[in-house]
Amino acid sequence: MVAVEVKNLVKRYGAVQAVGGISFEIEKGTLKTLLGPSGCGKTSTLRCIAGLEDLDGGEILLDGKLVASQTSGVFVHPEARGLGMVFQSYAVWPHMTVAENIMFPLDVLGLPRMEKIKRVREVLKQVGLGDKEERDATLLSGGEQQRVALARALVQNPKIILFDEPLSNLDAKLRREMRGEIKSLQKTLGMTALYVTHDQEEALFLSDEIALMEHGRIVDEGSPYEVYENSRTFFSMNFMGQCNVWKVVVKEIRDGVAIVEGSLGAKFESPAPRGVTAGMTAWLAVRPHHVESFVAPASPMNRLQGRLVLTSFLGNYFEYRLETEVGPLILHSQRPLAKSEDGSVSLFLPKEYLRLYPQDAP
Amino acid sequence: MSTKRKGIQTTLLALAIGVLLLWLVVLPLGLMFFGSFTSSHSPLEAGGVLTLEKYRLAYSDPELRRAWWNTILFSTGTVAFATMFGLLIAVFLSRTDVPFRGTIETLTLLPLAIPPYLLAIGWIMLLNPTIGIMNRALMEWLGLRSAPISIYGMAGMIFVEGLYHLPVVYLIVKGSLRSVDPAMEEVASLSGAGPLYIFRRITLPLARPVILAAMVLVFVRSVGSFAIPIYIGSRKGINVISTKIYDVISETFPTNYTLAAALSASLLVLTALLLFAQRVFTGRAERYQIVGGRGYSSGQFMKGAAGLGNLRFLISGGILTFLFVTLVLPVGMIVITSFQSPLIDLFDFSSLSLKNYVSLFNSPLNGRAIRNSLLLSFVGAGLGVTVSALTSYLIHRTRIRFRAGLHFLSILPGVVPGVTLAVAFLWTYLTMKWLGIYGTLWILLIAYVTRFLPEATRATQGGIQAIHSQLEEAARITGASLFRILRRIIFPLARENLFSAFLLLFMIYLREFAMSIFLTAHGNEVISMAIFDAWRNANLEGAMAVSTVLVGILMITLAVSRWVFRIRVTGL
Repeated sequence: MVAVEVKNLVKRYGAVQAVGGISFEIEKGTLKTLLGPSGCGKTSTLRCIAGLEDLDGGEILLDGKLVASQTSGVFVHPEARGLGMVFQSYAVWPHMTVAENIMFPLDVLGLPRMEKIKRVREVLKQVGLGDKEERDATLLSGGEQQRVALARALVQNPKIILFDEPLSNLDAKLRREMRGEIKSLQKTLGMTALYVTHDQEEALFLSDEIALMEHGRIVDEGSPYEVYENSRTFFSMNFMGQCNVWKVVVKEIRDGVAIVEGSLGAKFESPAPRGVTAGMTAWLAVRPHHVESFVAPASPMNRLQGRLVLTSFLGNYFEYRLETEVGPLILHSQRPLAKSEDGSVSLFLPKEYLRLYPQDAP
Repeated sequence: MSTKRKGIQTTLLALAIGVLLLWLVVLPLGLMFFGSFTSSHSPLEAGGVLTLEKYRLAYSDPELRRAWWNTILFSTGTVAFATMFGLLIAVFLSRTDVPFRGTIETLTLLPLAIPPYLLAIGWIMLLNPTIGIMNRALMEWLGLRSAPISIYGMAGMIFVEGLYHLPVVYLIVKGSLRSVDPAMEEVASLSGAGPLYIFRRITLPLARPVILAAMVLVFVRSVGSFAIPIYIGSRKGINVISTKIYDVISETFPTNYTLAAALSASLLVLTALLLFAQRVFTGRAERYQIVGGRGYSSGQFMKGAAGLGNLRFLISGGILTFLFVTLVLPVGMIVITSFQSPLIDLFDFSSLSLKNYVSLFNSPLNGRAIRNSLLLSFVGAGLGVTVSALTSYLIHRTRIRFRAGLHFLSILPGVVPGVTLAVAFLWTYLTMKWLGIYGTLWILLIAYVTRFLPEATRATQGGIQAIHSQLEEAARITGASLFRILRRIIFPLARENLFSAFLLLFMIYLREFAMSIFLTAHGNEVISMAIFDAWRNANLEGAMAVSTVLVGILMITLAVSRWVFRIRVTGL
C-alpha cells in the first residue's frame, strides 16, 4: 500500500526552481531517503510534504488523500496532515521540560491527563529517555535533545514521520548510535518515514529505498544495494561512494557488452548500458573494493599494471593508491597487496563490476 | 473546514490587528486632516464647507508667522548644538585614548532616562533670573546687582533641547564611526598621514551621510518638541508652533479646533517630508535609531585610536565637567530643592525637610495624578506589548499579504509629533463624543498606546524574530492552533524580551507630557500634568516634589528590571 505519493512536484523560490517536477512513492511501513548534496531540493520536497511550504506544481497524496495540488488548489495545512516531524535543529522547546515537550502534541488532541502521562512515559521509554522526564529541555545533550524530538514526533502515532537531516548536528559516534536506534524503532513500530540527508552512508544504512536528487530532480532511485552497485548515472556512482574513473573510448558493443579502450591501449569489457554507442567517449568507473590484485602475467582484457604510490591502513581495510597506464587507481583490500619481484602490481577489474556512463559532463 | 484552520486564524488575527491599527492611527489623523479643511470651528459643529481658510490664517497671522519662524530657528539651533557636542564626544570616545570613557558615555546617555521637562525644570532652577542658584552664585561672586544669565528665551530653549538630543547624535555618530573599517584609516596612516588629517580626509567623509541623517532626525524631533518650549519659552512669550497649538486649544474661546488641526497637519507634513527626504538621501537613520540606547561597552581601546598624551586627561576632564554641569546638576537641583525651599541657600542643609512631600500627599490632585499615571502606564504597557507583539508576529512570522501594510501602520506614529497626535485624538473623540472616551482616562490610554507603537514594535520584534522558525513549525506539525502556538510557544519563548518591552513602555508612558496636557480633564490628571500645574501656579516646591517622585519611580523601575529581573531595558 502506498502511504505517500508525490506527483510532478515543483517548488520555486522566486526565480530559483528548487524542485523541478519530481515523482516518487513511499510504501507503507518503509523508510525512504531523499539523498543529495545541499541545494538539491530534498529539504524543499520534505517541507512541501509537511505542508510547511506550498507547492508551485504537481500534487501530494497522503494515504490516498489529496493534501496539496496546484491544479485543483487544494492545500491542507500542516496541522491537519497528521504527520510527525524531526527537525535538523531538534526544535526542542527550551522553555519546557522533556515531558512537557513530548506532551504538547497530546495537549493539542485534548486527551485526558492520565492518558497523556501514560503515553508520554511509553514513548520516553521507546527512545531511551525513561529517566529524564522532568529534566529541563535546555539541560540535555545534543543526542538527548534529538531523542526528545523523536519522541515528540512519535507521540501522536502519526501515519508518517518526516526526518529533516536529524543527525547532522551530532558527532560521528553518536550519529552511528542514533541511526541504529531510529532504524530499529522504525522496524518495530512499522513506521512509514521520509528521511532527508546528505550523508550517503546514513542513507545506505537506514533506507528501504533511496531517491538520489541533483538540481531538483531524482537522478537515481532504488534499494540501497541497487543505487550503490548499479548506479544509474555517473553522478550517482560518484555520490554513493568512492570510485575509480577513467575516460575511455567505446570500440564496439556486442550482446550488451561494451569493449572500451583507455589510454596506452588498455582494453576493458564492461556491461553496456543504454545510451552508450560505439565510437563515443565515456566514463569507465569501478569501486575500489572491486579491484583485484594478483601476481600474474598480464593478459589483454580488464587488466592493468600498477605501481604502488601510497598505502594507508583504515582499520578494517587497506587503501592502496597506485599509478597505472590509464591513470591513478584506488584499491581497497583486507589483505596486503601482492607484488611482483620488480615491485609492480597486476590488477584485474572484473567485468561485472565495471560501469560505463556516457560522457555528457566533462 | 478544519484543514484550513490556521490559515483562517492567521488571516482573522491580521484583520483584527489591521482594523485596530487603522482605528488607532489612520482614523484620527484622517479625521483631523479632513477637518482642517472645513469652515466649521470645531468637530462638534456639523457640516461646514470645504475651505483653505484656516491654512491661510495659519500662515498669515503675524503671531503664527513668528511662531513658524521661531520653530525653524529653534530646531536649527538645536541641531547645531546637539551635533557639535554629540559629534565631539563620539569622536573623542571612539577615536582617541581619553580616559573614563565608561563614565562619559553613561553621562552622555543620561537624557534618555529623564523626561525633557525635568531637564527644563532643572535648568530653570539653575538659571532663573530671580531664584536660579547659578545666577545667585554668580551675582555674589562677581558682585553683580542683577542676574547675568536668564534661561528664559530662545537661547535657553535651544540649549536645553540640544542637551536633550545629545544621546541621539552621540549614538548614531558612534555607530557610524564604529562601522568605518579600520583598514581604511590604516592605509592612510601607512601613506604618511597624521591622525587629524586622516580623521578629516577619511573618517569624517565616510561617516558624513550618517551624521546628516542624525541631524535631520534631531531637527524633526525639535520641530515637534513641546515640553521644553512651553517650560522655557512661553514665560517670555516665545512660542513655537507646538506651543501655539496649545494656546489655540486652551486659550481661544470658543476653541478654534480647526485652526489647531490645520497647524497640526502642517507640522506633520513638515516632519514627514523631512524624514522622507532623509530616507531618500541616506536610508540609514532608522537602522541607527534601532541601535539607539543599546549602550555597548566602550571600555576597550579601539583600533585606530589616536594617542593624545597628557592632553587626554585635560580633554576627559573637560567633557566630564561639561556633562556634569549640564546634565547631572539640573536633576540634582530638582531632588535637593524638593527637600527645601528654592529660595534658601542651596548648601544650607539645616533647612532640609520633608515638608514638601507632606503637602504633596495632602493635595488630592497629586495623589490622583500619581495613581492615574501608574494605572495608565501599567495597563497601557500590557496593552501596548500585546498589540505590538501580535503585530511583530504577523509581520515577521507569517506570509499574509498585507504584512507590509501592518508594519507601515505600526511605525507611522513615529513621524507624527505628539502635539499633532493629541489634536487628532481630541478631534476624533469629540466627533464621536457618544463613545464616552473624550475626557476620560481611556483617551489617554489610546493616545499612549498609539503614539509609542513604533517603540513598542521595535522592542518586541527582536524577541519574536530570534525564535528559530523550526520551534514554531514543530508545533504546527502537531496540529496546534494559532492561539495555542502563540500562547504556548511564541510568547513564552519571547517572554524576557516582552517583559523588557513592557518595562520600557511603562516608563515611556509614565513620563508622557505633550499629549497628556491636551487630553487630560479634571479628575484624570497624570504626573507630568501635576508637575506642570504646580509649576505654573508658582508652587515650585510642589513641582520639585512630584518630579522627584517621578524620577524615583523611573529609577526604581530601571533598577528592579536590571537587578531583580536581570533585564536590560533598551530603547528609552
